[in-house]
Amino acid sequence: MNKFSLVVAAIDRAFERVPVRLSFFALVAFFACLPMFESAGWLNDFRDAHILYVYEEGAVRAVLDDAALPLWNPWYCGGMYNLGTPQSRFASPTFLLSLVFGTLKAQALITFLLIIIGMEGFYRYARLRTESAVGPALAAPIFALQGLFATSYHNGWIHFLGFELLPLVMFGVDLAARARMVGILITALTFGFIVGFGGTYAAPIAALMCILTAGRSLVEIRRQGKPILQAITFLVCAAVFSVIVAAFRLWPVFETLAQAPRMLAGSPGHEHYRFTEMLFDHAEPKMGIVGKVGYMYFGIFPIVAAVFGLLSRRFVVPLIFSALFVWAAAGNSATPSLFALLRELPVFGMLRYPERLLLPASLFLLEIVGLGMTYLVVRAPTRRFWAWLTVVPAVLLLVGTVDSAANMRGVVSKMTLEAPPLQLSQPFRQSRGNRWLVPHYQAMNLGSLSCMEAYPVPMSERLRGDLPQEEYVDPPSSGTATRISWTSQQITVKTSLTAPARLMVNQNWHHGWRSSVGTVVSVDGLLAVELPAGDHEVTLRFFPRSFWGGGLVSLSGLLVLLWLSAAGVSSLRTIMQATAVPLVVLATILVGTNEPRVTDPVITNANGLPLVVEALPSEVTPLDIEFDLPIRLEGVKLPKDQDQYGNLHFELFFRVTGQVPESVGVFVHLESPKKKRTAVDHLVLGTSTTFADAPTGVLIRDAFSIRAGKQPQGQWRLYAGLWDMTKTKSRIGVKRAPGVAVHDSRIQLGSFVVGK
Amino acid sequence: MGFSQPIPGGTQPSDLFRPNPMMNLEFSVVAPAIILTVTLVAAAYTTWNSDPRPTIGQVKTSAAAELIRSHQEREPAWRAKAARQFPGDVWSQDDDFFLSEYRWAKSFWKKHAVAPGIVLMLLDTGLRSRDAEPNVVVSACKPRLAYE
Repeated sequence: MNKFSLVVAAIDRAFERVPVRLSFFALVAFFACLPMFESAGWLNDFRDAHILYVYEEGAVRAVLDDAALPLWNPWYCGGMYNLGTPQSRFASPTFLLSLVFGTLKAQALITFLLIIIGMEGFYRYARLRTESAVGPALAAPIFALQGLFATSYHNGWIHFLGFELLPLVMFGVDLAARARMVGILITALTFGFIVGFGGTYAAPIAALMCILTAGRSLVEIRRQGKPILQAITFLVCAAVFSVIVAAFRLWPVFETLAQAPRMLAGSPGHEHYRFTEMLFDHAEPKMGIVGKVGYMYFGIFPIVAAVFGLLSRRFVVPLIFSALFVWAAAGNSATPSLFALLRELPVFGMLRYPERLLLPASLFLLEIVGLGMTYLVVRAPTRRFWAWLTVVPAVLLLVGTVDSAANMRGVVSKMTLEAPPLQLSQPFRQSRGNRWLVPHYQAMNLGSLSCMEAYPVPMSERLRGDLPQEEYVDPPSSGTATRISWTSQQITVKTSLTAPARLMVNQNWHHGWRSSVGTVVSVDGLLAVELPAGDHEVTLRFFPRSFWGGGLVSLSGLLVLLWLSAAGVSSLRTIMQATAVPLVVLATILVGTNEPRVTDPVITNANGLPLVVEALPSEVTPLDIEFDLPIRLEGVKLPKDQDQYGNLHFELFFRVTGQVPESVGVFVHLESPKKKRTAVDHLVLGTSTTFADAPTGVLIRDAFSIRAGKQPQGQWRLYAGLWDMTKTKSRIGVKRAPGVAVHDSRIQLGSFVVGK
Repeated sequence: MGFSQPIPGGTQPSDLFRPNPMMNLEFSVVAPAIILTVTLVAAAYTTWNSDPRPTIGQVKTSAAAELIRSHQEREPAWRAKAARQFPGDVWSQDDDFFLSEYRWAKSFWKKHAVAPGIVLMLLDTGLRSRDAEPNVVVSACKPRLAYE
C-alpha cells in the first residue's frame, strides 16, 4: 500500500463522516450562492418571479399579519385558493424561512439549503451502490449545482429546487425495498416535501424516479435470493404513505386543476438531440432572460470519471435509465417519442418542456461517475499507476464543481433586480392592477385583477377595480353593508337590509367559503351571500374541505408512520394494517361530510365566447357535413367586415359523436383573390379542447381570428376540413357535404371581403 | 448501523477503508461542525443584511397630473396594438396591454427616481377618477396554449 493510497483512504473515511461531508457541501454551496445572499433583499424583476412571490408573500402576510392559515390569496386574480394553486410553495418546511427572513430574502437561503440537501441526498443514494465515499461525494455537487437550478433561481422558480430532493426520495425507496421502515419514512416525508413545495414537474418526475428505483431494487433483491414479497409490500406501503402524507396538498391541487384544466399545445422537441449548448455552455442571460444556452448546464468535467464508470460492472442500469431520460428529453422530435408516451399518463400531461428531463438523466449519469471514481479508488493501493490515475478524474470533478458554481454565480449576477416593493398600510381593495407589477400592488394591499397563470384561473366577470367599497348589497336599494373587519382569510361585514338581498364581495367565489349567516352563493363567479331581511353581522371564512380533509389524512398518516418507525415495527401484517388507518380517515371524511359541489368550469374560446353552445346562433350559416370520423361540421360564421383593429373573426361549429384520435385537428385555408393561401390550422378547438377530449353530442364553437392587416383586398374564400396533424398528416375524408363544394376532402365554406 | 452505510446484502467497504493510523480523525467532528456552523451563520447574516437602500421619492403634483393624463391618453394606442398583435384573444390582448403599461410606468419611475408603488398608486387613483367609464374590468386568465 503506497502513501498516496493512504491519503485516498483517509479522504474516503472523512467523507463518510456526516459533519465532514456536510461542511464540504455547505462550503461549496456557500461559494455558489454568495451572490444570492448579497442581493437577496432585492426584488427579482422576472415576470414569473413576481407571481410566485405573490403566492409566498400572501401566505406570509396571512400568518404574520392575520394570524391565520394561509389558504386564500385575495391579492391576485380577484382571489384564489393559495394552497390549491400548483405553483405556491409555502406548504413545505421552507416556509419557516420565509416567515423569519421575509419572502425575498428567504429565497436565497432556501436555495442554499436545498442545494446542500441535494448534495447529501445524492451522496446517500449513490453511496448505496459504491464501495467508496469519494466518488459520490465528489459527484454530488455537480448534481446539486446544475444549470437548471441556476436558471430556476434567476427566474424566481424557487419551487423547481424541489428537484434537489429527487435523490433523497430515491434513497428512501432503496431502503424501503430492503424492508427498512426508515425507508418508508424517508420516501413519504421527502415526497410530501416535494409536493408541498409546489410545481407541476418535480412531483411527477419524482414518482417516475421512485418507480424506476423500486424496479431496480426488486431485481437486485431477487438476484440476491431474498424474499421478494416482503420488498414489494414495503414498496407498496412507501407509495401509499407517500400519497397519504402529501394529501394535504394533492387534494387541493387536484381539485383546482379539475376546475380549471391546463391545456397545452404544440410539439416541443429537440431535433437530433441537440442539447450541446444547453448542457455544456455557460448560461448567458440577456435582458433578464436565460436562453437555451446553459439552461441545463452540466459541464464536461464529469465525463472522464463517467468513462471509468463504464469499466464497472454496475454501470448498465444507470446508463439505461439515463438514456431513457435523454430520449424523453428530445420530446416530440424523437421517433418514436417517449415524451409523447409519458404525456399520455395522468398528471404527466402537464409537462410542457421535455428538456427538463435531462436533470434525471444527469442524476443517473453522475451515479456512473461515482462508480468510475470508486473503480479507481479501490485500485489505487495496488499500483502507483492506478493511484495517479485516480487523481485526474478527481481533480476534474473538483474543477467541475467550481465550474458549476461559477455558472450559477454568473447567472445570478445577471438577474434584473428592482428595489423591494413599497409597503403601504391601507384597507384592502381590488384594483385593475398589472400582473407584470403585481408584488408592488400586493405590498400596498391592492388586489391585481390582471392575472397570469399556467392554467385558466376561474375569475368572475363581475370583478371590478374601481369600487367605492369592496362589500356591497345587491340590489343597492335593499340596504347597506359596512366592513367591520378584513383579513386575507376572513371578512366581517355588518348588513342592514329592508328586504332579502345579496351581500356581494368583490372577490372570486370558491366552494370553500363559509358564512356565519345566510348562504354562500356564486353570482357569475363572484362571492356572494344570500341574506334575509334585517340586521346581520356576516362573517365569511375560507375553510375548504380539501384543506382540512387533506390535512387530517396527512396528519393521521404521519402519526402512524412515526409510530411504526419509533416502535421499530417490522411485521408486515402490522404495517399493512396501519396503512389502512389514514385511508379510513379519508373514507370517513368523504362519506361523512358535505361540501357544495365543485361547479363545472365554463370553458371559453380565446375571444371569451363559450365553447359549448346549445344551438347555432342566428347569424351562423347552417351546414350538414359529415366526415369519415364521428365528427360533424354544423355551421360556419364568416366575418361581414373587419373590426376596428383590422381583424377578421371566424367561427366553426362542430359536433363530436364518437371516439376520435388525439392527432386529428382542423385545417383552415383562407384564399386571397390571387389564390394565395393563409393557413390557420389548429389541433385545439377554441384554444380549449381537442376533438379527442371534446364532450360528445354537444355543439362546439371553434372561434379563431386573423389580422387582415396588409392582406390583398377583395373577395377571399374560406376552405376547411379535418386532418391528422401529427401522425399520418393526411386529410380526413368527407362522407357527405350537401350544398357545398368539396375537393380533395377540402370544403369550400364561403367567401368574405377584405378591405373597405 | 446508520442508514448512510451500504445496505446489507449490498456493497460493503473494502478492507482498504478500515481504520488505520492515518485515519485518526477526531478532528472530523469538531472542525467540520465549526465550519458548517460558520457557513450557515455567514449565509444567514449576509442575507439578513442585503437590503438595498430604500428609494421612495416623491412625484410633484404637476408631474402626477401629467402622469395620470398621459396614462389615459396612451391607453387606446396600447389597446389597439394589443388587439392587432393578438386578434381574437382577449386575455392575450389584456396581457400585452399591461406589458406596455408596465414598460411605460417603469420608465417613469426610473426617470423620476421614485418607488414603483408611488407611480402605481397614482395610476390607480387616476383610473378611479376618470370622467369617462374607466376600463377596470380585466379578462379572465386564459393563457395561450404556447406561452413564451
